[in-house]
Amino acid sequence: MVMDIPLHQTATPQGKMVSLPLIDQTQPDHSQLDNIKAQLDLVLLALEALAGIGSEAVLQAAAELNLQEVVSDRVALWRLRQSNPLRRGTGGRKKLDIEEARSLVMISCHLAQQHQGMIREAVELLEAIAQTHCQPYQVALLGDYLDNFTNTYQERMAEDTLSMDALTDLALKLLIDLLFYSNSQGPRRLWMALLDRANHA
Amino acid sequence: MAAISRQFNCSSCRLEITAQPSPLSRWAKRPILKSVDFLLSFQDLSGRHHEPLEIRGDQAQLQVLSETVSHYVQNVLGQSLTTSVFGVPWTTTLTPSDTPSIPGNEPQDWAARVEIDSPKILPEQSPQTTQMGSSPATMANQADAPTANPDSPYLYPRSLLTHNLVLGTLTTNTDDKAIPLKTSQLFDLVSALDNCAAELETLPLPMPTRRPALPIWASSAAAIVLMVGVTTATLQITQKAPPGNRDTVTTASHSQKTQPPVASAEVDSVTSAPSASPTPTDQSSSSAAKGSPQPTAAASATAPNSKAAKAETSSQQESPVSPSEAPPDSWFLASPSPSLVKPKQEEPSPSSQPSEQDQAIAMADQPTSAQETAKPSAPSAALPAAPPTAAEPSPTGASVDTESEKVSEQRDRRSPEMLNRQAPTTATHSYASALAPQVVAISQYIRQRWQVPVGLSQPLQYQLTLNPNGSLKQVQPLNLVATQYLPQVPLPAAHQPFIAPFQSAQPALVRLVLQPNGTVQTFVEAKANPKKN
Repeated sequence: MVMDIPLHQTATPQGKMVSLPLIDQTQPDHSQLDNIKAQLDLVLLALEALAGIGSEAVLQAAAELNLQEVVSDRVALWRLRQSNPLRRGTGGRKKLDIEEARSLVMISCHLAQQHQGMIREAVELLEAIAQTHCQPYQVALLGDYLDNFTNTYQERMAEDTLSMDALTDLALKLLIDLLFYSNSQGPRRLWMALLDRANHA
Repeated sequence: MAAISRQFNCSSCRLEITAQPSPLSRWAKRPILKSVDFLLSFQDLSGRHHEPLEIRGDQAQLQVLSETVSHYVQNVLGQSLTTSVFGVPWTTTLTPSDTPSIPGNEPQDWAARVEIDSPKILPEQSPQTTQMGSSPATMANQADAPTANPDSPYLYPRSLLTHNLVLGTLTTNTDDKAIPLKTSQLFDLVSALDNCAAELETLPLPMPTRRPALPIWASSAAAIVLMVGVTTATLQITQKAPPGNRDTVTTASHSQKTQPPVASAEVDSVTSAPSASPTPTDQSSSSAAKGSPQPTAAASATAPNSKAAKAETSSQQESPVSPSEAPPDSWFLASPSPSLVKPKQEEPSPSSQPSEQDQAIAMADQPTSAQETAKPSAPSAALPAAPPTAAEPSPTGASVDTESEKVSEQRDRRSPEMLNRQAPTTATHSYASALAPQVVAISQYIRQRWQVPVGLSQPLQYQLTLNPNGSLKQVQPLNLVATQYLPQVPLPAAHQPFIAPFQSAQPALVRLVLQPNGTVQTFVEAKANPKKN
């Protein structure tokens, strides 16, 4: 059921809003990081599902952003994403420090900016079909995206209790958010969105 | 300086900035602008097929619009996934009439979830009636510009993919107050505003002055305060005279207040008798013999100069001249006044005396002359010639006794005449007795410093008014000659204690008589008698 999803349980209302996330010295507490870890993994999952971004592209983006010390190889990337408490197995055991979270934010926005055209196209398609009351699955790009997202989510996440509608809504919500993460102020907005969500939960 | 124009083109909108570059731009990496005007044009808006929608405004409006849009987008992004995705079951938000409940009709369900293009999603709508759960209403409440300022632009969501931009007071070419924006158009708008803010830097707008307006009377009150202050300061400066002049004025006023000694002849005949009584002399000599505290002037009296001694000797040969026997002159008889014996002679003389100015000048110079005469005499004194004060008990000695005897002898020679005129009353007797040490001290003080001027042929008579602290309050010449020679009389400085203080609530009057032969005589004049006023 919906209420059993661990995503609901990770966030506590102890977070604080910060104005400049990447340079602000206020660090979220561990409960916020738990929520942030899940959302960072989901953003990367959306990018992966839409643009087919694999670990190579993520490592390439980390190299372009001079973040090799944090994301040096596939193992490091896997460990970072495995910090998501929604993950199967040892998910959530690793703690994500502020620099690692910042690195994932930068990488995600960098990849979103690289694939801004595709993201925008997907959003515009979504807007178009919304007016026609068509199914997103009927559009190739959106259908592939939703399929990839749903399959990957069900494959990687421990508690696969989300309905298809919930997974669709989550995927579309993440798609729309990716569009706003793809501009110059994307990293700041993603960081603040992570904190906002952690604070709201 | 030429205006610059920048355009920030996005897919669905274009932001054009026209501004004046600030001279500060030369020191900045980014151009600094001022007097910014913007034109925001949207294309392909729903309902406007070919005509772009244009929004115009100034720098302040651009700033407000940018902050509003950025804040709204952040609120949309910060919406909790839990709430937006899982918070409210989709099936409960739609009524059966709105959503077909046919199983498998998911496209319509999805369309209803994502696109809720109905006016029921308004900011004031309750969360339970919104399709997206509480989030649209929450975002609308957080976007909240309408409550803050109804004239400011604000946005509110219609669904995940559509938003409404309310222009407020922004100038536009449409009559619609709310512009429907898709998510992609909203992204273009916020991207254009972000790029503009990142590329251009505008001078901060001057904050509206929040200072409370000064009341109208504030300037008048300030002017009045200034005038009063300046006037007071000017009066203080103009009325403030040098110390010498101040003494002159004081002395002149005292001389005006002092009654002409015309009546002093009469009063003297009545009141000066006690000063001639032998009692003070006896008391002073006896007190000196007993070793009681004496003014230091008594000790310094052991060093009279030879001239004074000779003069005293010669004065003994001459017939003593009583103050009452002094030849009266016209000034002396000018204006009779019975208030000479008043302790406080505050009543000014109705007639201006011809010698008042001379008196004033003389009294102004008096302290200087007294100091000049005191200085040379001090080193010649056998004992320390400190200013005679009663605070310091003087060592008793034969010289003091001798001097006291001399003074007593002198007064004894004059006492018969005084005694014949009027016998002192008991009160007057005690009053004179109390002032005997002071009278002796004054005599010694003057005798040490007094040198007979050349050509002096008449005795000089002065009436000294003494403060209870042993200082000189006032000097009143009693004849014309005394007025002329007043500068040469070594009187102490006014209000500077030079003799021992005495117990009296009122100033004491002492007659000082300087004989041409160098004899110095002092008498206690009668105490003020209210009955004679």
